[in-house]
Amino acid sequence: MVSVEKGLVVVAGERSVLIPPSFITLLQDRVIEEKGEGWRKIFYEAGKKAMYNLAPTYKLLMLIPGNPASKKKLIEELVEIWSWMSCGRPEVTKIDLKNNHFVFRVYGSTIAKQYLGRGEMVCDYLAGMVAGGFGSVINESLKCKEVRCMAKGDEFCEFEVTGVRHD
Amino acid sequence: MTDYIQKKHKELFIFGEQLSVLDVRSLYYLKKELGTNLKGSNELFYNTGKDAVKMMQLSFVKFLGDSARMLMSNPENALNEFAEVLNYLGLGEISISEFSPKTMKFIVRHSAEAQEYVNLKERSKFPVCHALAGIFAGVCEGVSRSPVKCRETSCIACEDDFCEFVIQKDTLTRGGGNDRQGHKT
Repeated sequence: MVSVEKGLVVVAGERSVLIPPSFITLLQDRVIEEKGEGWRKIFYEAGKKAMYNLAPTYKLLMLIPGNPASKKKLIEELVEIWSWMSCGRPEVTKIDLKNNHFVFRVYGSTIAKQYLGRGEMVCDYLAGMVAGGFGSVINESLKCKEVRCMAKGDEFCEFEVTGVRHD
Repeated sequence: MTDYIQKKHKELFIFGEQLSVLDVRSLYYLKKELGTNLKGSNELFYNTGKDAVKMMQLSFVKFLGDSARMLMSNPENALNEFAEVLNYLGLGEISISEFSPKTMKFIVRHSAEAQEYVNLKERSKFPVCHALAGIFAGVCEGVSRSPVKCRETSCIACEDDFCEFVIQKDTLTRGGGNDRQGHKT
């Protein structure tokens, strides 16, 4: 799943870079300084757009011709790919396709670990990734909210994913 | 996998510090989103790249102890070693094309930071590898222990064949105006 060669890192068939988590947190801190709470939407949208565009590529990788995977399987496969991102241990604990309700956890998030004791949730980029990624592989509009975070003193980071209403 | 990058289960480490994976498409969207919402986002990526690599250099010294300190005492060797380390982070194929007391030049082929512009056939008027420029500035400052500026003079996002970065001592580049990358000089 991970290939590291001189000049080229490939994860799940996608060209990638290896970054210290401090790269994201330094970036995040500077945006917080300038935008206050507005940083959340910026990072959420960046994560969502990135994964919305990337997940279909993963989907092609996951689908075996003549043996179409179920939506549940696609989500599980996506989480398995994320487990190779070296960002913590992801797990999906609830998949309710009928009501578009999902619960996703990350144990030992590398980003949240940098903010231990912060007293607030900090994983908006990841929340965006989950909304975009899950939404893309099951062809639904989803939103995601972090409800627990290591930076807030919780044991793990947890995300609630629900459908977006089109009224 | 090279000796620089250690793998434990599914986690990756360099000099005892954990690394995370960011695919080039996510990097592109992060740059775009920050560019849309923030003034001076190019500068932000430059400074973040610079600070992150300086922290990595500190880990390098802490992790390798005396052998790292010995290496750092010879700027040219230290620079070659760091260029080699950066090669294994997937940033592109990095080489040093010029090394002199006044100027250093880096060439990056297939820059990860500019790759998605090429994939999407989105031609940029200006070089886009701001984080990479900051990373090279940080590496050179760590090695030379004096402030430097790095500017990208060619970029694959501008349809150049490769990305080129020129390092100059900070004092040489002061004097107002903007360079091609939009950084104040």
